[in-house]
Amino acid sequence: MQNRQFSRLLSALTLLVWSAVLLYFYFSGRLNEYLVGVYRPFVAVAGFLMLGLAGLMLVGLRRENPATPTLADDLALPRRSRAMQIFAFLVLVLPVASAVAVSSDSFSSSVVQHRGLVTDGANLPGGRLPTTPSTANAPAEPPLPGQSPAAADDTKLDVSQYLQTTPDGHLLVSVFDLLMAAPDDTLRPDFEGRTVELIGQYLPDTRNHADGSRFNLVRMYMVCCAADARPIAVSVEPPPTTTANSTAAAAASKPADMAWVKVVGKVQFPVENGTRTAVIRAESVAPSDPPAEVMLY
Amino acid sequence: MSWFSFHLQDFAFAFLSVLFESVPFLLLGALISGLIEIFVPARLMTRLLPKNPVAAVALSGLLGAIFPMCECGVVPVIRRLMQKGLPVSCAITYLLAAPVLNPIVAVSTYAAFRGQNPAEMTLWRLVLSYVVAVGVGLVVTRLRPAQFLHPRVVETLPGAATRRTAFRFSALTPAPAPALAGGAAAEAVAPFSREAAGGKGDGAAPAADDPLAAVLESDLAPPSFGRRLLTALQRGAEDFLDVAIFVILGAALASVFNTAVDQRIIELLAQNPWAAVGTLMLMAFFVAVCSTSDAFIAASLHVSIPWYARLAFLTFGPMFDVKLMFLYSLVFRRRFIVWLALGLFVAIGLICVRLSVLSL
Repeated sequence: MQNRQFSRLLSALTLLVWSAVLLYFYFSGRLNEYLVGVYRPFVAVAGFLMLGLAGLMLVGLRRENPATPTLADDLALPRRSRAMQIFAFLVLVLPVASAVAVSSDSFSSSVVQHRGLVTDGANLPGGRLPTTPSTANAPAEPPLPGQSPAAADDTKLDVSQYLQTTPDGHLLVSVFDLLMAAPDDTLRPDFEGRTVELIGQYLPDTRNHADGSRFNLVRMYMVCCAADARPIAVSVEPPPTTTANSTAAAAASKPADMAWVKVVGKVQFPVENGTRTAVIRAESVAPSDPPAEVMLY
Repeated sequence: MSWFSFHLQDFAFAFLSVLFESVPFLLLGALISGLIEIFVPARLMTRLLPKNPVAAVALSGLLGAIFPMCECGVVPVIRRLMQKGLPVSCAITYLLAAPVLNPIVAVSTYAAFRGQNPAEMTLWRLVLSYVVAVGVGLVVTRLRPAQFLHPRVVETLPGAATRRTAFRFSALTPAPAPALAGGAAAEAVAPFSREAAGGKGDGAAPAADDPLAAVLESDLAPPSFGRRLLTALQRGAEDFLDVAIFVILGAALASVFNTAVDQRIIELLAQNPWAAVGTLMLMAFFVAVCSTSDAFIAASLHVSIPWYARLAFLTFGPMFDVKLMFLYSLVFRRRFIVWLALGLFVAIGLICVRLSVLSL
């Protein structure tokens, strides 16, 4: 086999491997943990394009007379030795294949701590919403035709109309919902004092509550790709324990760091360290399966 | 917890996510570069741009509005555009400006900063990126391409341009195409002929022992559209693989920073204007996020980080990050890459610190 043919064969193999990785991640749904929705179709398109390009190269290789150069000959690229071609092939394929085999599609607590927990919704992308003028002194809006003046004042939307509830009547929320509600005067009353149910990853609050009186319920919030995902968290007070035995039992059953748990409890928004923060007084904390999509977008 | 702790699983997760984000756009850029190589007539660029160097550079800074490219895809494209006669200074201006000066980035920046003076932030980002890109382009007009371009790229430029300054339309007359029918077809294969002629681009007759020259001389009819399209795709695929090696290296370094380094250090360093600007530019270098979404990261940084430091992050990142550092080595000499990095760092840093007197 001539050097040119060998080079093209390696190129085709590289494209095939990359194509297989891209298409596998897209169609298996693993890609959901890596990229936000808007970028995912590009991965599928790139996977199919690479497959087509690899096919073109292989077909061309089969039909090509090794003695006859073509316009597509790789003259613009440096002529690499066979050893260099193999090295380049390995650099292109091995890291990707190894990462696919090793990646667990989620981050450990080490990354969460390195990136710092966001507990203030105002620090999230889009969290600083345009300030709306206070409605306290604003003139009352006139009632619609056929509407009583009292009804015109009742403009607040019932939160259960836009959030799901469990059969027990608990609001199904996410960490993101509570973080966004905390600094927002209009959203906060919708959640305050309500019993909510949410899933997140358990992480002890060793900085502010080393005594174990609270833990953080963490989710990763992604803007673009997992590399930029930021851990967001609400503070959770575990259910009260009454006896020494139950305390010991609670300690024994403490979830592992970053284990998925389901928390049911009442939401409060106290001001702590000058910031309005979401805190859940938990009624129950139980192990849970990860949600369908591990990342929040 | 120490400031550095490496976990292979975290690294692999971040590494793949950076690749998945950048590879489709890299492939797009590479395929466009293949199409440019085969289908764009060599003299097209000289017809489109003004003859005045300053006007041409200034216009190049705005080309991203018409041909938007992200920073990964633009590198293979400018490599081909230079071969097609785009003056090197214009190509560099386009390279630095296009990832920011395009409608997609303008809209995403505005959306990311809603509630935080979005119009002003977007405008400052566009203006500063344009000024810096044009500034670099004008500096480069004073240099000879051989001083800063990679020798392999210089070999593919129209011959005389390698000996003169980086802006010289008169030097861009394509080499006479051998024995092929004229028009676009002849122009389309002209680079092959130059390369085949010994890579010096001087328009000399093809070497007798060169295999491609033999094909061109024997192939009297212009190649069919289908054949040229296939060729363009194959060239695009080769370009992609050529560039992908460097993206892998950049993605690996960015992933180490993203997962193993305690990023809360940045918030501590960002309390002083100088430190804030410098630190945010370093962060942009290591994070290496696409220009279409970096504004969301800048907008979500801690409130203590001043707006002008975020502006430095948004301007420096799309022009020079760890991924681009490797990609640029395909086009530029190593020494120029170092000078470009330092120049951008100092220029953007000084401007942004100077802007600290303004409040948004």
